[in-house]
Amino acid sequence: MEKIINVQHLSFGYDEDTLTIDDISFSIEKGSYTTILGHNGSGKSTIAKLLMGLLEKKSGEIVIGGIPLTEETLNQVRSQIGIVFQNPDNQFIGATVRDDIAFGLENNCVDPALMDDIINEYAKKVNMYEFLDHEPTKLSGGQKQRVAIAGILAMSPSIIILDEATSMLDPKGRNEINALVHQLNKDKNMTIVSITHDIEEAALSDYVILLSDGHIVDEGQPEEVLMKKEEIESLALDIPFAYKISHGLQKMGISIAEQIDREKLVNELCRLHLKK
Amino acid sequence: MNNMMFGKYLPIDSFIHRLDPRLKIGALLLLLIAVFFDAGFIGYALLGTFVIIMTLLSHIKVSQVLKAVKPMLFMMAFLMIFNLLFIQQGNLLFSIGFIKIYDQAVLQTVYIFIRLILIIIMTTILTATTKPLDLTLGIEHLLSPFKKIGFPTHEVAMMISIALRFIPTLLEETQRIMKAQASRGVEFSEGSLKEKILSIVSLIIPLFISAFQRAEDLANAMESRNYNPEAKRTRYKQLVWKLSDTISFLCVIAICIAMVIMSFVL
Amino acid sequence: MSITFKEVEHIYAQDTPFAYHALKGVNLNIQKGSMTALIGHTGSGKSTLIQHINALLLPTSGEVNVEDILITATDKPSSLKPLRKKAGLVFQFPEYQLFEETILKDIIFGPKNFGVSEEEAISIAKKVIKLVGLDESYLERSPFDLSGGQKRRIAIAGILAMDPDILILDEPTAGLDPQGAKEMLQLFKKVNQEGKTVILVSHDMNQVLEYCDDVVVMNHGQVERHVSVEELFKETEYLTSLSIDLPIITSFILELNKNGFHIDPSIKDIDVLIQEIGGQLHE
Repeated sequence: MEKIINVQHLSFGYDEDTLTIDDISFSIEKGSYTTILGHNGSGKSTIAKLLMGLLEKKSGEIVIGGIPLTEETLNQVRSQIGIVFQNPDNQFIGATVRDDIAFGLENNCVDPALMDDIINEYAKKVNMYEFLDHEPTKLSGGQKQRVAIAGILAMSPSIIILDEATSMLDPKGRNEINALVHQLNKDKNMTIVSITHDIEEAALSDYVILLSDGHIVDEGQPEEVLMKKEEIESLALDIPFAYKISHGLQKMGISIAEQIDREKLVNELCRLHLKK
Repeated sequence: MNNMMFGKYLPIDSFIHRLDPRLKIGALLLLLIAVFFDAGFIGYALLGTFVIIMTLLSHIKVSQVLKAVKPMLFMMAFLMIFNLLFIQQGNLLFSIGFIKIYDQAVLQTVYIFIRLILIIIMTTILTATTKPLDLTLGIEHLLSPFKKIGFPTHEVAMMISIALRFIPTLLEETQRIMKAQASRGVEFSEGSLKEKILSIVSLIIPLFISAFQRAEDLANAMESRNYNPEAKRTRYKQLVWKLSDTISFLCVIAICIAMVIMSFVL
Repeated sequence: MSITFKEVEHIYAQDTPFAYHALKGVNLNIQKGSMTALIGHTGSGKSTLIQHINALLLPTSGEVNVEDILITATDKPSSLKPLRKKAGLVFQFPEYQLFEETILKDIIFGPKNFGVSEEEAISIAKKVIKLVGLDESYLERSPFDLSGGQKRRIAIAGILAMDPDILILDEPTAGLDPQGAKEMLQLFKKVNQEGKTVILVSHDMNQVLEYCDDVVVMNHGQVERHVSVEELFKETEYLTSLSIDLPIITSFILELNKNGFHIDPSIKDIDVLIQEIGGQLHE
């Protein structure tokens, strides 16, 4: 598979003495849904800013879509990645939904005559078409994040980074955004990098990178990474619910595989129950 | 805050709403100058009629105009009393003790009253019929000749529009912090001077910290979306100068010339 | 009787075109010493309701009684201070209310406003900082050098230092990682067990199930339910109609029961659940 993001020996520190990111290497497959999982202060949001070129790395290399990230290639790299930040209020730039989606198009020098069609298309895609002339103060957090996603899609990137994009939303907003992002990942084969501490979200992804104190502690398929109980707990994270149950049952002597997918677990338990 | 009409955009459709923001800003500037020509009552009657017609064309209700004028009444009253007492020209009308009122003073005061009312109404028409974003776009266009001498017109316009976008957010934030500190025993309206200063500090510092945080986040969000103030950008909103704009502009010019002529003839 | 709402109405910006009817005829009685969750989706009136408890908002009509301090539209208590001290309100993202140059000064700010002497306030500060899981060495540091989660602990310490009888928390764990959230909730449970009334506004039903006794459900400015946690999560259809997710454990049990299991849906503890499933598989 093609690697769309390739990071080698990346280091970064906000000041001279301490490294927030310490010699990290990883790569992300095109079209995958990857979660970068870690507790508060593990350095996960710093990685997002480094990938966008918002912070200047100390050493190492970042290659995005085959282009090494440097001062000169900043624009090229940024046109390939869109990022949704944590606070929905602080990334809404336009006076209305329409103007906000237009902002990125203006920066990319899109012909103004074409903008209306593009804006309408992506506003429909994120279900915000009826809100095009609304001001940000009249929108919920979930709606604002949907506008942010529309603004990104309008610039047709191949990667979307979610930097704790749902952590300030209520469950309704969170479900909306998660559903939308999963759909984008499926339909358009958009590469998704989600930075989160939500273990249940990580359980549904293709690949997990586990981060602590600026180091990668573990990485791999969620079935491998998230079932290491001691490791996950030592990182101040929670263990997936389905694993807790299947692990507990196994200890009771029931022959059931340890797993992290709740739906599969329910099916398997019911199968066992019928066989009894 | 919500009751204030002055400076607020009215989201309706009217002839004046549809006019080009450049025209509206330019016309307001010209008319503001015209107001100060001493064109006598006939001149003010002419200008007043024009303003009334504009108000009607912009579908602003009389009650809304009054609301805009209301917050200014105190200042106006103060200015008028000041004028009445201190202008001592023309014939003495009457005197009570040391207070002497002259006919010129009355005349001047009436003029000032008319001028102020006209200015407030004209400005209200501009802000009520033009979206803040169009207003900044208009300002940017009008300032563009100054680009040649290095004036950062685009940056200024961007700053104004971001400020306008964040005013409601920061007002909300202010209220939230005030309530949080009130829950910690701060009483913003009472207390000694020292307590009052401390209560203001407890509001201002958190407000600044959060504003800086927002500014940083916003800068990141803008950069991530490829914004570069120095680079070439296209504009989504295109200003189109229409025939109605030209005609309206000619009307404004005509009124202004009439005012100037009258001020010399009368 | 601790907190009583009687026919409370609240209308924001009354007599303007922006008027908004946020509370409609709210009747409520929250028992002293309980740990009550307040749930409902954004805009249901939760935030308006809690601000009545320490008179940050006054009712448009009706009355609120907080441990014999009466709050109505017209007679606002002569001094709000006793009430504000009694009912400590922690807003969402309280880290934004820090402003002093040291953590100590920020924690004693509240108590000093309520007339506690400086020395006494300092000894309180030393106690509460441990309560929120930080040690005394933090007291001389600047709150602005800390991480987001630590700042929040300091802000909460500042409210606990006021020694309120009622602690009201608006989404105190928003944005915290699982470990941070857990420690925070255990702290509130401890405070509750020491006899204080705790009101927790939360969107996370897992928290509500695990930590609270009672639940108040708000919808469109009205209190629609005030029941025990067990009672509430039996009403699955009602919760679905409000698009409130069930706690993960409850929805898991219901899934199993749909497929032949017979498990009590009010089980809160995951180990009990494992025993139960295991038992039913062994039979």
